[in-house]
Amino acid sequence: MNTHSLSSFILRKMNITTAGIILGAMALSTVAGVYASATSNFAQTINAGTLSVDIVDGSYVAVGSPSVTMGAKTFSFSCLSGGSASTGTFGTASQVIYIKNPDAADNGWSVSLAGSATTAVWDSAGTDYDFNDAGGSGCTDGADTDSFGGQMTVDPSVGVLATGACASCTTTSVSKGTSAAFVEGTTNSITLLTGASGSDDIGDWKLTGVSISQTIPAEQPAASDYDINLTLSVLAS
Amino acid sequence: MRHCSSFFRSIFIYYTVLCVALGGLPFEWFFVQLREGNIVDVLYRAQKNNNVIDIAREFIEPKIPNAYANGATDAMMAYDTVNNGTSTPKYRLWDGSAWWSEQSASAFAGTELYNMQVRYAPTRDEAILVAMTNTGQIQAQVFNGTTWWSPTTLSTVGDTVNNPNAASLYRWFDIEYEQTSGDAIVVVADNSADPDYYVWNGTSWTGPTNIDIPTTGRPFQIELASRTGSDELAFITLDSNSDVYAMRWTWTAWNNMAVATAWETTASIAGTRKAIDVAFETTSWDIMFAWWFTTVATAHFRYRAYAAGVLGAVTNVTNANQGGVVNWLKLAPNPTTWSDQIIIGLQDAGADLNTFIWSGTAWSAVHAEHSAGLENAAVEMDFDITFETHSSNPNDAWLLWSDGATVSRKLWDGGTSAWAAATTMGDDNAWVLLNAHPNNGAVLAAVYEDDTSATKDIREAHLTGGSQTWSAITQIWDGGVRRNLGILRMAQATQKYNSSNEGMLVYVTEDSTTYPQYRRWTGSSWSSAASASGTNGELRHMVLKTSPKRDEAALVTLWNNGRVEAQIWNGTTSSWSGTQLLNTLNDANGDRDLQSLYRGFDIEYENTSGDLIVVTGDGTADPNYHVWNGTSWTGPVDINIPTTGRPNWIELASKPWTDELAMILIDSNVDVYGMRWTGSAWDNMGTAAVWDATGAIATEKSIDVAYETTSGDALFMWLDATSTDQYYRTYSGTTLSAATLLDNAQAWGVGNWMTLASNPTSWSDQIMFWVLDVGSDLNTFVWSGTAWSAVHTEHTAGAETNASHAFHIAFETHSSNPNNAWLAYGDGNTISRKRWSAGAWWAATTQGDDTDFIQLNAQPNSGAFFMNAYESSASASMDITENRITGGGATFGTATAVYSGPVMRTALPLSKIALASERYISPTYTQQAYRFFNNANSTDVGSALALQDTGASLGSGWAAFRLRTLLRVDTNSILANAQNFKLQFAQKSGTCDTAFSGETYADVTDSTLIAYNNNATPADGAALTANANDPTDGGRTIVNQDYEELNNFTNTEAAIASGQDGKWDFSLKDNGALSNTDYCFRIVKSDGSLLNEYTVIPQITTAAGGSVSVDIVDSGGTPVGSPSFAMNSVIVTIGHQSATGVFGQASQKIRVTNNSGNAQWSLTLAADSGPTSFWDWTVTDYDFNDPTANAGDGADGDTLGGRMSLNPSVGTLGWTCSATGMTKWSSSSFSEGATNSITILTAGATADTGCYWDFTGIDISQTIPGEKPVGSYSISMTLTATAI
Repeated sequence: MNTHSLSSFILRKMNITTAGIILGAMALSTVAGVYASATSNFAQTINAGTLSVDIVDGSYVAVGSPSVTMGAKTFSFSCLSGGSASTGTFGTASQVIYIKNPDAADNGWSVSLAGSATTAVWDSAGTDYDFNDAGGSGCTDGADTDSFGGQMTVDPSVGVLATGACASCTTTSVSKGTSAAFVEGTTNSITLLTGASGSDDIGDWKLTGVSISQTIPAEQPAASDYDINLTLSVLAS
Repeated sequence: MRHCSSFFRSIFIYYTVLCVALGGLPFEWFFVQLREGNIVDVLYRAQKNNNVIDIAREFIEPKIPNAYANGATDAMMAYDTVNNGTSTPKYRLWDGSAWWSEQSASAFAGTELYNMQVRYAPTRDEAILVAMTNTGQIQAQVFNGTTWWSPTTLSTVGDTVNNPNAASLYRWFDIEYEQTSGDAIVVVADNSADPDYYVWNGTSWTGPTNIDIPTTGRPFQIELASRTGSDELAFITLDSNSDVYAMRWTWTAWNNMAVATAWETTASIAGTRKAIDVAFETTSWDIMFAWWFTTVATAHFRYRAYAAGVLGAVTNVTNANQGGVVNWLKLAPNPTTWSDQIIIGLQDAGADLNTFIWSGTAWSAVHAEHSAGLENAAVEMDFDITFETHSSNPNDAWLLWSDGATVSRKLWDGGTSAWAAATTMGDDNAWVLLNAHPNNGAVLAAVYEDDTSATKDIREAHLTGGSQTWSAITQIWDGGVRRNLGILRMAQATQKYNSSNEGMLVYVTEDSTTYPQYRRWTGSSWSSAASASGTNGELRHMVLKTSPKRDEAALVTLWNNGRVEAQIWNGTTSSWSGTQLLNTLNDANGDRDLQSLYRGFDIEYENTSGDLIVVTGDGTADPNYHVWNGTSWTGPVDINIPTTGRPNWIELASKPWTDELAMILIDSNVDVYGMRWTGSAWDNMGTAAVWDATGAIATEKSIDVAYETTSGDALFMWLDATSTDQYYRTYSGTTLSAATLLDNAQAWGVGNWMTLASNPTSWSDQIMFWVLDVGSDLNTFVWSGTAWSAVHTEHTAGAETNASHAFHIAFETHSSNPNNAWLAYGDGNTISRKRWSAGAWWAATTQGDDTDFIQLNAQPNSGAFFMNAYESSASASMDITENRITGGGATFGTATAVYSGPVMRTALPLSKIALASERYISPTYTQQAYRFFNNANSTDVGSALALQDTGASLGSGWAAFRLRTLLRVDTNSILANAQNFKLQFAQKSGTCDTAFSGETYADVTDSTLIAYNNNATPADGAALTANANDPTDGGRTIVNQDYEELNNFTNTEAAIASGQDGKWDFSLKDNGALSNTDYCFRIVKSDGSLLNEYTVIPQITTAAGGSVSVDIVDSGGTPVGSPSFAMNSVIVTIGHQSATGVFGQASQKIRVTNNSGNAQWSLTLAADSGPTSFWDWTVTDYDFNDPTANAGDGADGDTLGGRMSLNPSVGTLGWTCSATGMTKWSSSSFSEGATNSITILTAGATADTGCYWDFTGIDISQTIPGEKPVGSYSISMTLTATAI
């Protein structure tokens, strides 16, 4: 005997029996009835999605070219720092920092901001300045690899955290980062948001209002085209 | 077309007749009778009561068959029976031991057959049946070995054009085959004075062509005779004016033998009886024409002999015992070689039966009257004569006649030239027919009982195996018989054709020393050369032999490294095995190179077991033997002999029809010794000492052994150290004679080489012996079976060489050349060829160049005669050449090169060529009998479902059952595991007929509609357990084989001898087959080719009241054990999503089979557990039938969202049923409480039944609520087929 035949035999025998019973009933009632049936197991697999961070608009649509505009400054023979530093807000109603965990990081996650490279600078057609040089509290060129001064400070703690589209999710165990300044080789990235292991395994969150401050070295030439690319990333714990 | 001849089918044919004929009788009465199996009695009463049937008549073709060395054992008897309603003759085949069951040929025109003749082709598996119908048409139909073709009308004749019926009583035609071309010649009358002839060439008819003869009446009687080994025919006719004329057919034209006027013009019976005949003498091939004469005082019969190209004068033979003019006349030639005897039988107007014997030159005196009271004087021919063809009974003949009460039988003893006393058998009889089979010697008698007999049957009796005690007379047709009008309703012929005609040539060439080259003889030419398996070294000797029991050859080779190696040719796969090292030879000094100069081995096949025996030296004084059983080798096993040197030359011979072998050897000390292999052990025949310690020479083959063909005695022969001396011993089976001197006065010195060659002709014990001496003189002797002839005049005193085997001798096997042999030898310049014929050597002819080795061989079936020569280094081209004689000729053609040199290592005593003809004759298989049983979980079966060879009905759908089937094995026995078969089935179309008309057969598998059934306990291939109700096949031995649950199958349990049946047990079941439907079964070979014959086709009928079934099946139609359907996977989403899938794929098709009578049904899909089901996972679930938007939870009974939708309209229907009436439904979604099931497919009133549909490609989508976590969700869905 072979087992394959046995299994198919059993299946068909079941169907016959079923059909027989029904046919018997049909004969009594003289109405049409079930001849036979076959059962199939329908299966659906749901896999984890990908933990992600993005800049989306109010409809959760990814913004094509997200940007943050810092406050404009006038040429100065002295360093613009502290209260004089240029400031901006990362995360607005139209450009929301959006984190989504579709069952991908059950042990938690963190979102951070970093330059596109540690050697990145505020770049213009003329002279550049740095975003991660702590020399002179950001006013002078320090011991890093470039010859520019300048330093950016990020303060997520002042930001606004909210859940996203997920109706059942909460911000429980999700916390905003503290203020920090980029220092080349030392503070290359700054944590904006952290989801602890107790956070929802499936959820999405929005962060807006993250404060940005940039120290500009003295005598930095006037220009309208200073820019720098920063990158948001999310990492599962 | 042949029809199923099963008893079951016959029942229904007859039942129909009865219903028509006896319409006034209660239906139930017949039904009960039929159910009781008392069909014959019912039928008989029906005929009697209603005069539905005529009285019967019969005839059997009385032609003496030609002698043939080997071949088929078939014969055929055809007869017109009463009550078949049409002119459809019945026929039976003789398988060598018994007549098979009755079958039907194709229908002729009209409603009654008046005269029949049947002949077998000599060159094809074919027979032709010619018959005259009651509508005056002469028609011919061809039997191709399996099926009958539709008849071809050759002519229409009659007394007047408007009254053909009465004139059809005469035999206006005859048929004979040309014995070499295989063309059939039919001579037919055409209502004019000149007959016509037609030629059948195996493919088509040509004709009619007029034969211009001088007689002016219409040819009422026509007789033909064919000459063995020739295309010549002889023809004689008796016309409506009683004129007689005869001609010869010279294979292209009719020849009047220089006489252009009628031979006889004074007769008075006007051709109404066949008072003419013609026959060829067996040896001279002279033709004897004989006919009646009107004035009995002048001549009782007249004859003319055509001899040596001259037609003799008309000569009278008077008969003192005559009782009036001759009405019927028969000539029966003696087929024994060297005989020209012919017996003439005469039935006269006084109902007397007389015989004379023609010696070849004169008629004997008339024998004392055999009977003065034949059944009739003129109505029909009441006697027949045939000579025997069995080798045990040369020159014996049988005379049978109807004496008014029984059938009388008389034996003519050719040894004493006397008729024995008559014995009787049977009942009051009309026609008697006799025929002797040329191959197996069976004598077949058929009698057509008179309408005044008690039983009115057609019966048969036979002699087999050389016995001269007749079998019991047995019913062939249980009457009634047609009215006796003196016409021929029955015909009989024997088959001579055999398809085994291959051969093989193996040779060694200089550039292929490690790979012997071989060519195959295909029957007409040698194939191109190819390499056999090889090894390292220089090939010194080789012997090639073919198996009598398998399509196999064995090649054993000896290399210069002393290795004796064997390789086996598989004729089925046309490939050589690898080489098998058997032994390694060396001389007393350990030198292998020197020892390998001598052929210290030989091989022979046992003729009944088919085992191959190899005897080979092993470097000691005692040789070893090895056995190849078709699968594996056993050995070496020591053969203890008294000689003390190394066996330098070994010769074996195999005894015909037994497993006995004989061996002779000469060792390095020139000691000679012989032994006998009994089939299981070596026997010294009572002599343990060396036979001759002074043999002639140890370095050349000076020994040989051969068996006499008829007696089976062995002749051992060797050359002695004394120049003129040769010695021989014979072994009779019990006694070894003393060594006896045969002196050769012509010897020039000590003999060096010798060979014995047995005459293969039946009844001969001749053995030819040639010897070549050290002086290069070549002499021959002939052993008669009891004594040696004088030495023949020396063939040459200047043979090419005495260093190598440049000589050979062999007898021919062509039927035209019985007792002929050829001697071929290198003569110093060329090869001389001498023919031994009629007891004398012909003058030599020559071919080729200087030669080193010659080999002759005769193909036992086709008679092709081969000569291969290995030219010596002294030749110009140093080729290997072949030459041959085919078609029974007497001259060789032009030698051609099979290898264009250069040859190697000549002038050494080596074997450069091996040549052998195929001996194996394929067995024939017949699906012969069967019986259906209930299933049992056992190798035994349950109770029988029906009688043997009767279709059965299953009691319920899906029922398991058993089929036990008998396969006849004939022509040759088969060893175990010899042939793989498989079982096939088909839905019946018309009838389960042996021509398979309309059916499409498919292999039975474990998943087909009729499938193999897997019982829990017995294993596939287990030995079946015999059951008392098993099918039987007359008296034939049944060899039980296997219980089968799967294809393929073979005879694993035991070999099956020719004439026996193998029995197999098939475990089967209705596996969703159509209800109330007939299925047919047949067995075929595993390669799909048909068996040789099918006499029965089992038929099973499934239970009524089938249903619609639905299943999930794989691509092969096999139900899937645990069907499953996987939706496309998705990922976790924030918010709801939709998953998709396609339900019904190639590997899991939805199959709906409608075996019911109701075409209308629907197929729906619903959750297996009802509308409250959901997609389930261990952590969380979701719904399949919540209509709330965005997969939200609605007002149903659960708290889950999600919904499944189906779109069957995009699906695909595949089918055996058509698409007619089928509807694929549009998209729909489940909704709890509202749409709990979705219709996928419906079949309307016009849809098919009795077939199935496969449905695939149904789109499925499922909304999934948001944030459903990672998991494997499932839901069980059920397809339901529902009647509409």
